[in-house]
Amino acid sequence: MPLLLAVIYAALNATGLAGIDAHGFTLNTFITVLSSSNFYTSFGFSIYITLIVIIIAVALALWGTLTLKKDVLHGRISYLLYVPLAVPVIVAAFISFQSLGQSGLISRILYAFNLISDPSQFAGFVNDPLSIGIIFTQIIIASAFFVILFSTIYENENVDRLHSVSSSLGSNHKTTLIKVIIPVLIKKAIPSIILYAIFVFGSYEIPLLLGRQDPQMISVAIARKFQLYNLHDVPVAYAMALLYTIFVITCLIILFRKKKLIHDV
Amino acid sequence: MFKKRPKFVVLWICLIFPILFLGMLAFSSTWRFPTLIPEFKDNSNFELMVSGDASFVMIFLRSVLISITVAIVSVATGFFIAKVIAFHKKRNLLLLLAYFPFALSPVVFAACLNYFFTLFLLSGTTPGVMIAQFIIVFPYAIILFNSHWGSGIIAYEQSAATLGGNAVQRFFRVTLPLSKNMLLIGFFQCFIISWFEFGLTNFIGMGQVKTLTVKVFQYIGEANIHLAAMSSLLLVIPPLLLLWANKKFVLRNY
Amino acid sequence: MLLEIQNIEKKYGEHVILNRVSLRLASNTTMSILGRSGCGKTTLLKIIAGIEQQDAGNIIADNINLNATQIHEREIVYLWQEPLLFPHLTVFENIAFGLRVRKLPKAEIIEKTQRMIQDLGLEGHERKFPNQISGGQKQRVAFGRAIVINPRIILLDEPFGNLDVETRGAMQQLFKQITGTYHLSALFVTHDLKEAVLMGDTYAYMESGNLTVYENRDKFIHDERTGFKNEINFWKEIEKSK
Repeated sequence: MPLLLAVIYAALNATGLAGIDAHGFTLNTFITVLSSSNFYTSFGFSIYITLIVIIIAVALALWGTLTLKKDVLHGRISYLLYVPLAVPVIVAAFISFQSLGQSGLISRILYAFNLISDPSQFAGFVNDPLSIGIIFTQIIIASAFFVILFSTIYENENVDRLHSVSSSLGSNHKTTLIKVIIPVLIKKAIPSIILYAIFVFGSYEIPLLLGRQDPQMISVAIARKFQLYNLHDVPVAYAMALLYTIFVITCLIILFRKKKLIHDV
Repeated sequence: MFKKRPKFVVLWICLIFPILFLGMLAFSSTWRFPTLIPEFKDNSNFELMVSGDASFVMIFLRSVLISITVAIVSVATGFFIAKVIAFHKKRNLLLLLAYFPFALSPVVFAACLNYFFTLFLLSGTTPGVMIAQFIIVFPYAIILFNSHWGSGIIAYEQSAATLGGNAVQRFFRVTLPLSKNMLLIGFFQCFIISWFEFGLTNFIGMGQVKTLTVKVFQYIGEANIHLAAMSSLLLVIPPLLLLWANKKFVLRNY
Repeated sequence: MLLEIQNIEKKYGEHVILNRVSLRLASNTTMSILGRSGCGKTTLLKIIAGIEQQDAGNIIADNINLNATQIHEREIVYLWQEPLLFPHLTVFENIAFGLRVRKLPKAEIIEKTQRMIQDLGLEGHERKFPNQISGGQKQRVAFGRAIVINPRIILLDEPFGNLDVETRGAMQQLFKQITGTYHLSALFVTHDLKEAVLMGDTYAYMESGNLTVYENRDKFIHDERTGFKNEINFWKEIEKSK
């Protein structure tokens, strides 16, 4: 319900039918948005971050789950993995901000070891051009989540037994890993991975603190457009929000269809 | 066992270090380049913590109040609505709808909804923030409890009914005891979602409803890293305590 | 007549589950209903219990139409294939459940429950929780929980389906014995021909939503559909081939 209200209001605003700056129906705002490179860079930038984060985090988590397996499932280490989930993203962003920045902790450590003689010699990963700060922070949180996800699946799906079956059928460890274990884990995890990707795509706090003015991730770009006190920007913001919402909803619908298919089989 | 030691150490450093780092920043007052460890000069931070209206105690309590209210209301309503959805003919569609507000970026959602909050004079108020958070936490509660209802609990209810238990008896003697753990997990997970929320809170609260996350952001903006660290520490402690109590309290499953 | 089912109909969309099903059950008797899985037996029992609603037809017990009576007021207990013992209650409290919700005096609850525990041979397990007892014991507790409230009718849906052969035999014996002691009336649904013959006083056969009720056992076992003849022929062939 509230979502519907939000979408309708956003649509009205974006088409010039409502809002402070309304001048009657127009699609100009959409044309402005769709013809400005700004929207595409934000969109593309968000996808760039999302893809890199998800690919690296999934790979790290797979490696982590398979090497740490037993320790992850039981014992003290399992609590350690949950720690990143107990840290709010804004705090994670703050910690990265203080560690990775030009005069942050890492820079100081390098200085202490005489590897640099001035903070400016350290590139710093806050507001950096490749957004390594954002990616790094996201990866830490995502990897922890994925390791927990994979190890739960590992246990639920009796992967150890599949492993024995596969071995008894004559495949070696490596083939089993590639042909059985990893596909099983990924297949079961794919809905959660995609959903997580949608979260990363729309993430706000981390890019807000660690990102540059340009390009901005989509949430940051939209929020900033709303907060600028330029009335002409508000319909543009609504239009962007609407396009973003449509994109997310489409992704979800596709995901749901696929998920249902898996259930039917 | 001993061979695996290095892995443990690396993990420890990666995961525990940030929190120690926060602690150091929070309880110090200066950190000039190139010193490694922040220095402690006076206890002005402590004074700020307890003094006056804007004290951390007040902010902390307000955050707790908001999150507990949002969690209780979301769990209570989500529990029953999830039941209706779980046995509804259009279950999949309704569930998909529940995913929408949950998957959208809260800040974008808030931005689009802000007009209605302004209309009802809720922008910048604590109840406004609570309602806004409810809008995203409630669908999560539905998604969480949906699988709980799907797990066969209904057969126990029906069994109790054929044995003569009326609706009230069934609820208190069967449903509630069987769902106790799930409700507890749901409550803490909802609490944490609300507790961590920044974008939406900041937008609907217009920066005036000062929760801990909002404070962290404001202090960073003022370049006061020590107070930002202090707020961060306060933010991290309750979830860590919950984690210590039960891992499931903090793991939100998507 | 204790229970009278008149022309019950049930459809899921276009799919007919029950096609004008009728039956009559006298007091202190058990009717066996034989049928393969998916023939509609479970739906019929659930409709009688009030867990599901029929599209048409009447359920009459002791000359009262139960169509509008809620589940918990029907005094008809439905037993699932799984025992569905309340996991948070002990064996004793599980059996006492129906008495407690009826708010009987405490002394009476204790007395009735104790006697039931004895009759079922569950002494010594009173304080155990469901996860601490065996499958056969669980099924006995489920029985006791149903019988102790002295219901009009109990409906059994393949109650021994999940048990191993030996436990199954013992449970069939116990059930026969208990129905005698407590003067029970029951509908017993099974896909096992031998069990159907063994447990029932009267007999019925169900196939794709159609129920046939037999006048006596002879007619039941001589109906080709029940598979009795096949079974006999099978053993005869074996004998011959010796």
